Amino acid sequence: MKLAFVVQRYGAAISGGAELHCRWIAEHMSRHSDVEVLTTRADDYITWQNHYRRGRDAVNGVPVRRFGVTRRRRPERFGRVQEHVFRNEHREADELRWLDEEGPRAPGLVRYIRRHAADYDYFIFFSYRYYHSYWGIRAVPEKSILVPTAERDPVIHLRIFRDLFNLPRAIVYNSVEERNMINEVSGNSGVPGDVVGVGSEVPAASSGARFRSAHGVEGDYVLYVGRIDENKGCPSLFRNFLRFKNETGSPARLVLIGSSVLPVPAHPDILSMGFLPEQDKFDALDGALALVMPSFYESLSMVILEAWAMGKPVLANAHCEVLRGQCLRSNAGLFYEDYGEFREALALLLGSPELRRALGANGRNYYEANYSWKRIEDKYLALIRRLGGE
Amino acid sequence: MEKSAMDYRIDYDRVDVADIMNQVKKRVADDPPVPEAPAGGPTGPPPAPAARGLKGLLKKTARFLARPCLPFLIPLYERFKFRLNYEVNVRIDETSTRLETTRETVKLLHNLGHNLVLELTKLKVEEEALKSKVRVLEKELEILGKREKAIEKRILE
Repeated sequence: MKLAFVVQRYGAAISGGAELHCRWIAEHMSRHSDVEVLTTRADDYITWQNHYRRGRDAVNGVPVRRFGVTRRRRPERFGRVQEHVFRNEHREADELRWLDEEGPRAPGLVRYIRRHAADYDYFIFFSYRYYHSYWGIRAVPEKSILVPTAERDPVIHLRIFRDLFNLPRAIVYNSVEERNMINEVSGNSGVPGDVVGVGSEVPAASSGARFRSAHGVEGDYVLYVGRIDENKGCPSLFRNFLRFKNETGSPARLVLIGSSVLPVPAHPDILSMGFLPEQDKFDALDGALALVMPSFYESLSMVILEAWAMGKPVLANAHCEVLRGQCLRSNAGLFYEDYGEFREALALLLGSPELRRALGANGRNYYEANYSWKRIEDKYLALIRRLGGE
Repeated sequence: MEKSAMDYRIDYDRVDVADIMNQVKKRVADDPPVPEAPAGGPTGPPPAPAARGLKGLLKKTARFLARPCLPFLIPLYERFKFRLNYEVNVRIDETSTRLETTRETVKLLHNLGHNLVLELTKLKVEEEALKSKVRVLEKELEILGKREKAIEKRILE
């Protein structure tokens, strides 16, 4: 069986959610079938500028075929088109123009998919919102499996995607909430699919003490991992945390790991570490009392799964249906809708080691039962077998 | 803080997050947080940007005035926009391909130039070495000639 994984960017150093998700799945599926990744030469998701060499390549033993991006994204122009599409009455042609501007515009990739459809059994497309998925699925609908990685943001309501969700042979969802949302906006409940998600590469050993000594972190802390960005809810996290400290006098600190696109408040108890290697991230998780996830838009949140794999409880933003649902299903995390709930839930987590232990243990069990690599691989293989039998 | 944790009824052997969150909500309802100064702001999604102001108003007025002609103008405009977009995209694609080809050619020419300079330098060095060798051989020949003459002279004597 030959599988093609189609994704907007691909590389060992690319750590974006959907791209990393695709790489891990491709690497794990390569143990069961002949796998090839079809992607662009882009490295940067803002401009999609060609970076990698054209043609064949290999990443961690998985063959990769790269196609040139014919037009770089101009962020200002894209912003204007997006503003028009999101905020005004518009036509389908405007949405297609938005898709064109969003990119990564790689017609060679779509042409290759169309011409070599017979060489592959299935094409697994990652991220519904980009050029490669929209046109790629249209080129080979009967052989395509879509992993949408969709969030409840304005893009999901664009008309061009309603049909798209009805075209593929199957859809692999990240969560029950994502499936419900897509069913609701596109009415695609007839398209076969499964809720699968992704596992994680948790190191065999990690040490909170090592993280503390390497980065000079003292005392109890809660951890945030991810891009420090407005859409990730970081400004509200900073406000809530500082207000919590003022009102309760808690000595806890907030440690941030990730690159920052907005200013971090200059407060001695908010420690921004910048982007750190994977081992440091897991060391930080090991030393944390809990992981806090203030994001409004998530289709899965791999870092929450990693926290649960490490037996750590989480505190999540309840405005994100996926995070709320994951916390309720796993019984491994608390959530908040406003500052009052944030204060109560964080105080409860910080003040009760028994609760942290119990939630963490539930998290680990939930991770093992649903997101261990064996489970993920089995679900993909079962879906493919089911499609073959239809 | 410790007191806060102890006030909750939690079965640690079978934690029920839904039940804990109900207790949290009840506690927040009973003891709501004191509203913060404006700097605090709500915990909601990022707000939408403000309306466009004068520009928006002018656009609306223009639309209102042009309304009677819109049924004829819109299809024409749409067709024109679509055609223009299509042609622009085709041109951009062609130009991008040409640009890419030109870039590759320039790269190859650059490599060629670099290799030629390298070869020329090597040849120049080789030429210098050969010239030195010739000079040495000439000297040796000269010495041998002198020696030959000296030996001949000795024999004749």
